[in-house]
Amino acid sequence: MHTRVAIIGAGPAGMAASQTLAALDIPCTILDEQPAAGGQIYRSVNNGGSQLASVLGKEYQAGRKWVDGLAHPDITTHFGVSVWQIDPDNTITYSQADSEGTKAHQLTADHILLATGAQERPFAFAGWTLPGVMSVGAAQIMLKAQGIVPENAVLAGNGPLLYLFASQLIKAGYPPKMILETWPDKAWRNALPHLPAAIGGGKQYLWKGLKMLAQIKRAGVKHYKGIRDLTALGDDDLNQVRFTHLGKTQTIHAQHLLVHQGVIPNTQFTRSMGIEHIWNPIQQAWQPQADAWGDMGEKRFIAGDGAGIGGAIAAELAGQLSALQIAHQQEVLTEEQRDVGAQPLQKQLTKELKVRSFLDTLYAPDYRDVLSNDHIMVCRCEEVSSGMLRNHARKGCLGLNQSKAFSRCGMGPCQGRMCGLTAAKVLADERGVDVSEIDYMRIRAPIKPVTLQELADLA
Amino acid sequence: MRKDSMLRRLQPKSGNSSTEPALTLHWYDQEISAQPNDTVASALLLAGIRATRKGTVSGNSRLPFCMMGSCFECLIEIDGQIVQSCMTPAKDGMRLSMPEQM
Repeated sequence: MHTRVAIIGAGPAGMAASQTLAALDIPCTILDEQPAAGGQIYRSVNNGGSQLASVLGKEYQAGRKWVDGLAHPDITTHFGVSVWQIDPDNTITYSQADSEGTKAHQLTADHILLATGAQERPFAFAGWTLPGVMSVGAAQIMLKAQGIVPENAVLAGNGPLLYLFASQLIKAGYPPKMILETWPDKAWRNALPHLPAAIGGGKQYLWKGLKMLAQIKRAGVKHYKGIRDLTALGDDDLNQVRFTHLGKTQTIHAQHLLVHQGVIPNTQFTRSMGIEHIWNPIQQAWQPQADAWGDMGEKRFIAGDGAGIGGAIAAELAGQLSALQIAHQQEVLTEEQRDVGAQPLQKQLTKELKVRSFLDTLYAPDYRDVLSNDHIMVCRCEEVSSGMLRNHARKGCLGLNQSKAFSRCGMGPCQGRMCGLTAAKVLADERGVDVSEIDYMRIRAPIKPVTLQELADLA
Repeated sequence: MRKDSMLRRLQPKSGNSSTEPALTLHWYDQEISAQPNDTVASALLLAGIRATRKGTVSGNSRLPFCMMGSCFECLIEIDGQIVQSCMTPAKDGMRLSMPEQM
């Protein structure tokens, strides 16, 4: 099979890009791992999520127009497919399950647009592998897709999603038991210089944040700010949560601890394709090297949170901008036509991103616990602790590719998605260098596990 | 293994009386009921299962963690295949178990 433009991911960036392309009569094919369009932010917005409209809010419902827009003769969609390899000649290999089992398929494309979004930042703390501990994003996915809510959940960590999910639980009639917020050292001092820009361009986000905080307070949810030493306790599943606040250690009963520490670009694809990555010191994450159109070279583009965290609206704008440049490269639009379309989008995007630096510094991840406690599991798959990683560094291990050889850190089924950043942080701390100097893991295809049968399908 | 779940499914607003047909999954000898919009992982969590996998080194219990296909904690065996249960829609009659040691 061949397509003019293959789009990987049907979240805000991918959906918006497909609709700009379709409006220019450029056929495209969207591949997405989930059963329906929306990505994580608009997950299930058109099926099942509707009865939750008031709980999930207006911003969520806004995703509907993008999902509806996919019904266009020039847009082909494949859901429930797992893309696991992208070759230098832009051949995409993916697996799809049908009634006879899972089979591998290939698709070639003139252009590829990655719209693979974000993942939650791995938040390693003592006891985080215990059953009963899951991410806030995971719990929110269950709310959106299945209408499932946790009763008396304890929320811990930081970031706008923590407040948003707390407010959604309150609206659903299941307020959380407690919010334990981590505050990195000097968060406000670092964030204040970015406040004027945030007020200038992102007032609506600041206002929304204040409203959510007021709602949490009104609901009587206990909200501790600046906690340390978060620990999940239990025999073989979660029973208690322990934390320190203002020098006092408290232990509370809990069966559901939901944790979050912001989101980072999902770089598995771009890394497996050999794209250069740069360290973003404000977002404290790696992002692929791309120009303002999302062009990474060789007819490969990236748009949305996968290129650097900007949120859903920014992703929609970036997807449209990538689509215009792809149309220009395919000689459908002249440079002038492209720019006429792009200017209003670029203007909106600049405004949309103004709040980011403030949010990214105020809700920076707090690594102090994992850097001061040697018994925290960093790699969940292979069970490698912070202390073991320090030990490797003392024996001369410089980066993540070497720590694999020392301990298999990052070599389990998740392929470093859940440990890479934390492990790099620990090695950097022990070596006394900046985390950006730590070599990231080499990620190779297949980026999702495949069976021998699926490989044989391609022979 | 099983505790009181404390996960709840919100009920549709009144006026919407059409209840979707329930599916039945089999977790060892236990029957797990699910809805068509469930993934295998969401159905197991809602049923109060507190271990779907054992850690490969320590053998400690694990449950789905990210629900979006990143963490691979939710790997289980479904009808003989090891898959991510959070990415697998629930289907009537599925036979589920912990994955054999990988």
